Amino acid sequence: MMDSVLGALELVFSEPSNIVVVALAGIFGLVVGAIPGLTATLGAALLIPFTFFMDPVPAIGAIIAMAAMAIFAGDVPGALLRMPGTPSSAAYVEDAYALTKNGKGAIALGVSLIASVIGGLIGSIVLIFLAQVLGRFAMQFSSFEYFWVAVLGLTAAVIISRGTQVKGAIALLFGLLISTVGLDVTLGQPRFTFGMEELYRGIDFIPAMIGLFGLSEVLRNVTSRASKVQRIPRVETKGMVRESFSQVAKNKGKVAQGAGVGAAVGVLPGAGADIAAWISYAVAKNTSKKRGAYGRGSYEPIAGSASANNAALGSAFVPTLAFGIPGDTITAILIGVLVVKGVEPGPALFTGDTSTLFAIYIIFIIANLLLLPLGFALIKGATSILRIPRPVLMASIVAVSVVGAYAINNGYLEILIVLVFGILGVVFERFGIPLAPVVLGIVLGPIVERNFMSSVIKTNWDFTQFFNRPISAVLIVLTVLLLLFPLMSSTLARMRNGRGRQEDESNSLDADAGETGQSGDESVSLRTSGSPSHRSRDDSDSESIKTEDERPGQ
Amino acid sequence: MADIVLAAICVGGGIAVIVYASGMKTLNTGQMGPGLFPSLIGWLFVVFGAVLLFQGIRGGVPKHEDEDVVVIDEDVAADEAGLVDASEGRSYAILDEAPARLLFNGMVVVGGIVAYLLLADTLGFIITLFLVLSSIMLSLREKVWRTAVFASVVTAVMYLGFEKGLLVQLPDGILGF
Repeated sequence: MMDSVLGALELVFSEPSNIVVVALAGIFGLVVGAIPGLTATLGAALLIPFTFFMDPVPAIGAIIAMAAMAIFAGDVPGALLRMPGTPSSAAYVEDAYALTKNGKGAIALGVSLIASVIGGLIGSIVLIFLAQVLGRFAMQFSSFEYFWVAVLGLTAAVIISRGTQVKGAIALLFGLLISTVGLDVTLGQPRFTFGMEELYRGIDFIPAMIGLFGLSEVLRNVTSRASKVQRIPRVETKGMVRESFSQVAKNKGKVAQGAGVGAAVGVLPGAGADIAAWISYAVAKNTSKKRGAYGRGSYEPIAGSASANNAALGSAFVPTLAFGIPGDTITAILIGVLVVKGVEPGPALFTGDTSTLFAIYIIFIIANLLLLPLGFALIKGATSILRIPRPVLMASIVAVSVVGAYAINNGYLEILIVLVFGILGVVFERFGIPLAPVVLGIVLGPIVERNFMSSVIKTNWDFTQFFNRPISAVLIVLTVLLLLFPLMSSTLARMRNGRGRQEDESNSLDADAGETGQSGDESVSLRTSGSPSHRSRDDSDSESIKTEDERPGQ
Repeated sequence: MADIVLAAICVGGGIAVIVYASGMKTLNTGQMGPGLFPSLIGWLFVVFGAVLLFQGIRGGVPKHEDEDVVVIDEDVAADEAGLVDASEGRSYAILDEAPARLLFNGMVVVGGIVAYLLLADTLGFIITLFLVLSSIMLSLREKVWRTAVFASVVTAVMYLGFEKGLLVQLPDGILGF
């Protein structure tokens, strides 16, 4: 253990360039997150070509730092323009924007930043302890258990996907189908290659991701009804740091609650920071004495949800490291990077030399600590980032997408894959099909097929072996519970409907002075959106997860 | 209607995948091998396509709304009604682009990448990328001089970063760069 920690410290700090890479990737993440429409997933996809040329630790560190910073930075346009920079910031955009209109935008962002750092650190601690426990537990897994873990991940991807669950399933099936292209695992037969030898190695995951999340965003942007930022509110940053810490101290309970909720949600395969933020918002509102203030400029939901989305980012790595199963789109991309770097995620990470594993933990801590100074710098310079001309931004993304894809194999096939998947991404969104399950399908497809085929071949097609193992049984129960989740949540919502209405009416009387309006009949509508978001008034007055496929990624 | 079309694509595609997979080799034991997983995916496409079709016909699929448009519409409505406080300002200005123009923008991006695929080996990386980026920026109504400057800067950064920094052999073309 001690040797591993020392080895990890050496891996991280022996090369000063490692910290420089993490810092630069973090700055990149701040820029990506602060620009509406550019998601943390897009940032990760654009970073991948660069990670090809790095050692494993800085490569992983770059993606972790970028994601942590992008998740926070999404709050900046949310607060200033009512446009969440990433879907993770959509939950509390109304509160942040209302505070900006009251001249407290910098403090709102400061609270969000400090809560993000605390949440991120708590998420990292959860990751360290839980991954260790589950990773060692996973050493007992055989192909049967791995099959069920992957099925659990696939199920979660559908249940917690944006848009309708049927369309989430269709997206997942498309990803699974893409994963079958190339030579198959059992007999080495070419599948869906149509005589093209270039496809024998399969459709490369990386250009597919760059296309789905990078180019598709460009195409969506240039073909959408165009709008531009006309006037950015002035942000008064004097005294911001002290006042932000003061507000966090007042709302420390919500920060802790958000971190707990975020860490718990993040562990679920297929969930992500945006889902964690919405659930945290709902929990914070339900347990608040000032419900009426929510949505009209309260620090409470910002403290809770900002803490939750960064906590989820850390805990999403639990299934990734312990089982090799992605927790969200970013970890799916990271798995691709790990495999390329010769690091096999899963129980193997916990045996032998675990210095790489501990280095990942250390990188998480460093990234979150770096977020504090860089985040305050971002708040001071936010308006400059928001003024980057749209044509320059779009052209730059195209340049990185094309050159990055080419750099993978010095070939044009990868650029063609970027183009095809970019167009597919736009088409999918027009049909309301979420993109995240596609990624999970591509990553999990080979895991499901490989473990299923090896299981049935070694037992001579005895399917009972899939069900008569204790761990398999637990995983099956979890999968069934997940399938029943939508039904249970709607039933619970109906049961609480009447009670919630009465509580809302009484609690709204306790709202902060100066707040106006009445929210007695306003429900917490859980939406995941990366675009300008507004709270909807829900006729049902129930707390429902209303997911809309607006933007890809988290 | 879009959902019914999507459902039809899923069902048709699923059947095509099943047919394709049925022609694959079998294992020595006679069981399906390489075709098993694609077949299963094909069947699930058919099932979910049918469910979507059923929902589409019944009108049970939640309507997708574009919140960008919602917010912009709110701004426009507030502006027209004189409800916008001038001190707050508006986040958006509508660039009143015709649908044909928006389609043209998309075609320029797609065409630019296709052009890169076709011309990079002949013209070389620097010239091809500069032309592609310039086309995209001009289609988005960027000023010519700013287009020239930014396209040059982005191309130079890409070239130095990948060719010199990461040692990626970018296409040289007939001019050698």
